[in-house]
Amino acid sequence: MKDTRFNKAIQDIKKISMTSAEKQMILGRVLDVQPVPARYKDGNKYSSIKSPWTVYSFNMWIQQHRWISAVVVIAVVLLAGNSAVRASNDALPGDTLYPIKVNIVEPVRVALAATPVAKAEIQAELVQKRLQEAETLAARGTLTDDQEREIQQRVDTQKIELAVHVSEVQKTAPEKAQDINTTVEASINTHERVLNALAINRGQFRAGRNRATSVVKRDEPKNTQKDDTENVVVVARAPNIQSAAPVASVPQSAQGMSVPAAPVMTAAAPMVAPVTVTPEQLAPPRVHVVSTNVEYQKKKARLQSLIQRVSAEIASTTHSATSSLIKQAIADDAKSSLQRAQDSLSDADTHDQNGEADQSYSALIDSERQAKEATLLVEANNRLDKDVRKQEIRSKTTEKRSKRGD
Amino acid sequence: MAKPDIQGTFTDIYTKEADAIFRFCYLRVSDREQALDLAQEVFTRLWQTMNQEGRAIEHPRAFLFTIARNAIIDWYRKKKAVSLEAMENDDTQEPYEPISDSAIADSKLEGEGRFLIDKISDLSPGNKDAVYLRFVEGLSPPEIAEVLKISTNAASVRINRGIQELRKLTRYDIEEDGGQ
Repeated sequence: MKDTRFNKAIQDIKKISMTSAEKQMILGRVLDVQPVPARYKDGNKYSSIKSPWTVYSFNMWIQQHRWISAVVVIAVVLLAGNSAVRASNDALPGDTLYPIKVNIVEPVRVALAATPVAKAEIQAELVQKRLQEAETLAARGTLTDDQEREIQQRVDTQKIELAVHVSEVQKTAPEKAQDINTTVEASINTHERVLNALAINRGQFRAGRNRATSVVKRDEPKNTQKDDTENVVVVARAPNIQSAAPVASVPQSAQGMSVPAAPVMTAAAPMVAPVTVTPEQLAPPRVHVVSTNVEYQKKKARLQSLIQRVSAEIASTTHSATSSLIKQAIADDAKSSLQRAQDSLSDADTHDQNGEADQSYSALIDSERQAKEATLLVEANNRLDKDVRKQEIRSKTTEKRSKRGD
Repeated sequence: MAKPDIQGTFTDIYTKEADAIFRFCYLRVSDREQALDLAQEVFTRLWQTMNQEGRAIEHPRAFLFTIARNAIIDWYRKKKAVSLEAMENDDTQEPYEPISDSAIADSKLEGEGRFLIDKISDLSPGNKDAVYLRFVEGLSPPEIAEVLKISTNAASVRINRGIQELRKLTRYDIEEDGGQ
C-alpha cells in the first residue's frame, strides 16, 4: 500500500519537465555552438585543449622519452662517480677526496683482484702510496700531526693485510712472495732516506723564503731543520720495526738495512738512529727457494741490466741544469745504493762459486733490494721535484694576484 | 564516422535525458530560467566532448549528471560569494542547498510528490543525491558512484542509508532495490 504512494510520489516528481518549446530551443542553441576540434588525443579523457607551450617543456620531453632519460641519468651518475675516482687519485690526507680514495677506491681494487698474488701486489702498492703521500706533504712542508697519525694508522693496517696475503702467496708462489717483500722493504727504506734528504733541504728552503710552515714544534734539541719531517720520520721508523715481522729477513741483512741510513745524515743525525732490529721481533727466517742455476743466472742478468739502467738515469738527473740541492742529495744516495747493489751482486757470485747456495741467494736478494731502492729514490726525486715546482708556481700566481689587489 | 552520426546520437540522448537534467537543476536552483541555462550548458559540454572524442560516451547519463552537479555547485559558489550569512553555515558535504523550497512551490508540485521531495531534502547530505538519482531518475549504483565520485560500494551504502532515513521520515515502505 504504502509502496504505491511512494511510486505515485515519484511519478509526480517526474512530471517536472521542460515544455516542448523550451526543449526545442535549447537543442537548437546547443547544436549551433561551433564544436572546438580536439587537439590532444593521447588516450586520456581530456576535454581540454593542450597548451602549446608544452613543446618547450623539459618535463614533457622527459615523459615522452622515458628510456632515453633513464639512460642519460645512469650515464651521468657513472660519469660523476668516475670523475670522483680519477680525481681522488692524487688526493692527499686532508683533501676532501682522500676518504674516497682510501676507503672506497682502494679496497675495491683489492677486492676485484682475482688472485692472492694480485691482491698482495696491489696492497704492496698501497703501502708505498701511503709513504709517498707522506713524502709529498713533507716536501711541501704541510704535514700536520693529525695527518701523520692518519697515515701511520693506515700504513699499519695495510701492512697487516699485506702480511696476510703474502703468507698465502708464499704457499703457492714463494718467488713472488719474496719479490713483494723485497719491494716493500725497499720502499720503506727509501722512504726514510727521502725524508732525511728533505730534512736537510728544509733548512735551505726555509731560510730562503721566509715562509711560515705548519710546524709542530717538539721539545727536542733545537735544530731548525727538524720541524715537520721529524714527525714523518717517526712514521717511517716505527713501521720499519714492525715491518720486520711480515717482511722476514735474516739478521745479516738487517745490518745491511741500517747502514744506508748513515750517509745521509749531517744535521739530521740524532733523529735517524740505525734501526735496531732485535732478533726476537723477526719472523721465521727468510724462506728461500732452492734456486737452480738457470734461475740464478737469469736473476743475475736481470739485476745487471737494472743496475745499468738506473745508473744511466742518475747520470742524466745530475746533468740537468736545474739540479736543486734536494735532487742532488737524493741522487747521491741513489748512487751509493746502486754501488751497494753491485757489491752484493759480486758477493753473490763469490758465494755461488764457493758452493754456498743459501748465502749466495741471500746476497742476490739484498742486491735486488738495493737496486730497487736506488730506483725508488730516483723516482721519488723526480716526483717530489715536480710537485714542489707545481706548488711554487701556484704560490707565485697567488702572490702576483694579491699584489694586483685581486 | 561522419559528423551527422554524432549529431544523431547526440539528439537521441538529448531527447531522452533533457527533462531529467532540467528537473535535477530546477529543484536545486530556484529559478526556471537559470535551470534552463544550466541544462543548456550541460548539453553543450556533452556536444563538445562527443565531437572531440569522435565517438559516443560510454555512460551518457552519468556523464550528464556529473556535469550538471558540478555546474550547480559552481553556480552556488558564485551566488554564495555575495551573501555573507550563507558563508557562515558551511556545509562541508554538500556545498549547496539541494532542493530549494521556492522551486517546489513554483513547480506546482502537490500531494505525494511534494511530500516526498520535502522529505528527500531532509535527508543527510551524503545520501540526498544518491537517493534522488536512484529513485527519481533510476540511475544504477555504478552510475551514481561515477557521478558522486565514490566507489560503487560506497554508493550502495549511501542509497541504503538514505532509504532507511526516508522510511522513518515518510513512513513509506520503500523497497531496497527498486529493480532497474
